[in-house]
Amino acid sequence: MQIIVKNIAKDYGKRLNAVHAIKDISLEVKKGEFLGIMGPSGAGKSTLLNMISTNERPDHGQVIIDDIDMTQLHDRELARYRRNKMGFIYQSFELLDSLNVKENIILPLALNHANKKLIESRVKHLNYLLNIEKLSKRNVDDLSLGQRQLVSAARALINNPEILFADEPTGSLDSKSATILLNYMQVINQRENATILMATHDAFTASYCSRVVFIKDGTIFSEIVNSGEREDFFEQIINMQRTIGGGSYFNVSENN
Amino acid sequence: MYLKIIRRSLAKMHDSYLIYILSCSFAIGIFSILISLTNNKIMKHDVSMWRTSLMPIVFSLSLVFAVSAFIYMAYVGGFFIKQQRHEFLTFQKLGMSKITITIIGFLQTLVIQFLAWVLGIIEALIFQKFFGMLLLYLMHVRINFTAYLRVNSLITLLQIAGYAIVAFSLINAVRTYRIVRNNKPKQRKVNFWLRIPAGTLGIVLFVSALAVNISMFASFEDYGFNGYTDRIVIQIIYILFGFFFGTYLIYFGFLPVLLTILQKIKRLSYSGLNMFSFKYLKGRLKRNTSVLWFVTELSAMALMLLTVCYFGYQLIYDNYHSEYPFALTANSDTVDDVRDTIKNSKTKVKKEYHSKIKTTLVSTLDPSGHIYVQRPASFMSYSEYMRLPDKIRASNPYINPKQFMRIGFGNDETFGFSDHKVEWNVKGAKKITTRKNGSSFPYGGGMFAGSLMIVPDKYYKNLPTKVTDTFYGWYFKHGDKLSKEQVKQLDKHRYAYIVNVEAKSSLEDSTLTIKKYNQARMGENDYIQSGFVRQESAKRHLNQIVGFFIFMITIFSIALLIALGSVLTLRILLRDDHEWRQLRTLKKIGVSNREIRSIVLSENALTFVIPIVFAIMQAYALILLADNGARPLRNEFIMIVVSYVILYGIIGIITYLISWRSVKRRIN
Ligand SMILES: Nc1ncnc2c1ncn2[C@@H]1O[C@H](COP(=O)(O)OP(=O)(O)OP(=O)(O)O)[C@@H](O)[C@H]1O
Ligand SMILES: [Mg+2]
Repeated sequence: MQIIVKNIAKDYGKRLNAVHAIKDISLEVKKGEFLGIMGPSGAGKSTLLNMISTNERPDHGQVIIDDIDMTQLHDRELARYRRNKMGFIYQSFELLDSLNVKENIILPLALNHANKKLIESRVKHLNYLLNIEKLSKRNVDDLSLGQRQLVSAARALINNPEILFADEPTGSLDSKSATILLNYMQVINQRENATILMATHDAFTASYCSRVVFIKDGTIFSEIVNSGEREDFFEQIINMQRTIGGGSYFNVSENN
Repeated sequence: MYLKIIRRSLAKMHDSYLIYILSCSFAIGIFSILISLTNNKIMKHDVSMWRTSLMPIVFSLSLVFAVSAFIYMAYVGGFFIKQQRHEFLTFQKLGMSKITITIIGFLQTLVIQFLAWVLGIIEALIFQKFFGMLLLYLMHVRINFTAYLRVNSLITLLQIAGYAIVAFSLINAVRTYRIVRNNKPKQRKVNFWLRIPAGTLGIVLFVSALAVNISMFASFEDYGFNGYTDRIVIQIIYILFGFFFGTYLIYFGFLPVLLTILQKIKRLSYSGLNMFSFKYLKGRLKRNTSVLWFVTELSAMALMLLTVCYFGYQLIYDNYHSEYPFALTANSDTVDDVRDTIKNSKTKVKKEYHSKIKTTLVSTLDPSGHIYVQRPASFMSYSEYMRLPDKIRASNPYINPKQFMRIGFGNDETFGFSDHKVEWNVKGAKKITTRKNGSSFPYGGGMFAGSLMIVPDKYYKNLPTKVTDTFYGWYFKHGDKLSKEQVKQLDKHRYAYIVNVEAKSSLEDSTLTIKKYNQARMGENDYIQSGFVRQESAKRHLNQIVGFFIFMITIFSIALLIALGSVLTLRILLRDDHEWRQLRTLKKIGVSNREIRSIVLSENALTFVIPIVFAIMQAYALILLADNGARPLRNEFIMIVVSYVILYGIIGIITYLISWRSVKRRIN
């Protein structure tokens, strides 16, 4: 097991109006797995990802990655671990608006003091792949949401992360860009054996995963494993979404 | 509702509010203390300078202080409004009217200002006793400082407080209104290509000003200082101009361009956080250009003022030592009484000495250099002079038996004009021309009606005059031990006699007569011969004035330092929402706290180090000017710079700690 999550819990806010974002979640993820996390809005998907990706510390419980207890690491080791092994696509993109697109993309490599040649070749490769060469010199502020999402995906992928955390990576993308990105994620998942944890609302996006866990109100509700048949898996996901309820597009359309 | 909003914003930005309140209350406290000193009985009557009262100085200082404090508080007050820009705009979007938001800005400032004044006045009440005692201690005045804020000064203070609170609140209301009126921040986007020539010009101005300054200094060293000729005045104006605007242009153009270049060098910028930090620092620098400039120029001014003040204090001290190289002196009329008084006291005499002098009329050019004036002057022979204790002669130049030396008043000698040419037409004797000038009077300046000339023995013997006298001087172990009563008795002999000059058109026709001292019938041509001079009383005055200056200099420099420091501190703490977001984003993509701290650190260093370095450079260059060779100001300057840098550094470190603390709180 590469990632072991043991009984984590997280509250936000002060005692009286506290929000129990995550109540008690345990989870294991194998190396090379492509895990989907689904659930209605506010279920705690982002919070769960943030905690596994060591972005936030849980109030209780442990997160063990590669046999290291992440909750015990010091800030410096944690930062090193994060930027060597992990990539992040955030729901709100988290781009630096003082830097231009290219600088945003290469930042993780620059932080690792990678050499210039490697940086240039990696950025060229990703630009080509995600079709964002033209944006290179643009200001982040001027981009459309979809473009920003692609940029933040490029930044997450530039240092070939062992573990990729993706929070709604296709939320703002048109179907073509979404498919390109998902295909690429699948490629690194299969070829380079990268572990991927992805939160999403979208059943189509989730159908790329090898396993999907559903969470509701901060706890794991159920779990579906991809048997290999894409269509079946997609159906199963939609059924599960219907069971859970919550504002999925498919839910609404099916009820009508 | 308003109260809730105000309370929330107070809680949210307590760090910066705290700094504001503390620094304002500090200014108010010092101001109150100055006011209370102006009204203090002791300061009014018991303490005086040699001639004038210290009151006008205290008064004008408190006026200067008040004006600067007002500007400072008005300026700094704007930070809070700026910091809340975003919130105000959100309020507006939520449908609050502009007037309502303006009132919120007004009330907020009212609360803060009120707190600051209350705190300041309390501070003043607590510390004025302490400051008063400190002042009197420094002035070596042994009276108990009866400290109380008199009712009328308290009322003045409260009135000022009332007006100030309203004024500052109004200013901030206007600021708030301007934010909500045009809700787009004025994005003055300065073209990068404008910064390059501006920066170049800045460097050229600054460096050339420095060069002119140094060459000027060098020419003073080679040829001496010959007054303020037109050329020198123009050079000085150029230097001031060059420094003043050069510094601004460097901040405006050169430093951003430098950072841009660094950022373009991929080998540097593609490594670690540099890519981000260069841009971040550049952004901060661009927005703080005027503040940095302002702080630099004020610091330079402060450094120069402090050095000059300190130098002035040293000058007074030195003058004192050359004017009083003895403990007690007398002339032939008073010597018996003085000697008896000494015998009757517990004073231990270390040495007694005496010399004969002659007094006659001389005519010399007055300081303007155009009119001849006739005055009495004293003469002493070379051999009498050489018999004096070494200590007295030590600070005068060396002369041989054939030379003349003038010992005179005035500070010109101390400023290094020691080979200033002196020409005396002496009644009934040869004209004297000499370039030897001393400043140490053998029996103290007070014993001589005019200047003293040391002359060759033969010249002295042949000098025709009826007026002769013998002066006596004493050294004591541990000062004199005269009682108050004895001093009072001695005071009867303060004035021995009067030398009356009756000037005619020709010096040879003019006459000099001795008259009994009579205060009521003192004429313009009467010169008093003192009966005795006592060092102790002068020492008291000296201590007072020196103490007073030290007090004022200290208060002023500390106040200035705190003011400038807090401006920088607030500037650093003031971060836009988008700057906060960036720091948080860095954290999210795997930047460690340590690296973020290093950004905060370099931001601090940039903000604090650059102004102080430029200020020291400017101040040093101008100090070189004031220092035209004779008495190096360099040591004083170094001492003051070092203490300034240390204090500044402390403020910088504190700012860094606060800044990092608030960043850490928000990124984790
Ligand atoms: N920083 C925070 N402070 C307070 N409450 C928070 C914070 N972050 C999340 N929450 C709360 O925790 C709960 C879970 O939030 P989370 O963002 O994990 O949901 P989500 O499943 O990602 O929803 P979405 O599908 O909208 O992204 C929500 O009720 C949210 O309001
Ligand atoms: Mg989310």
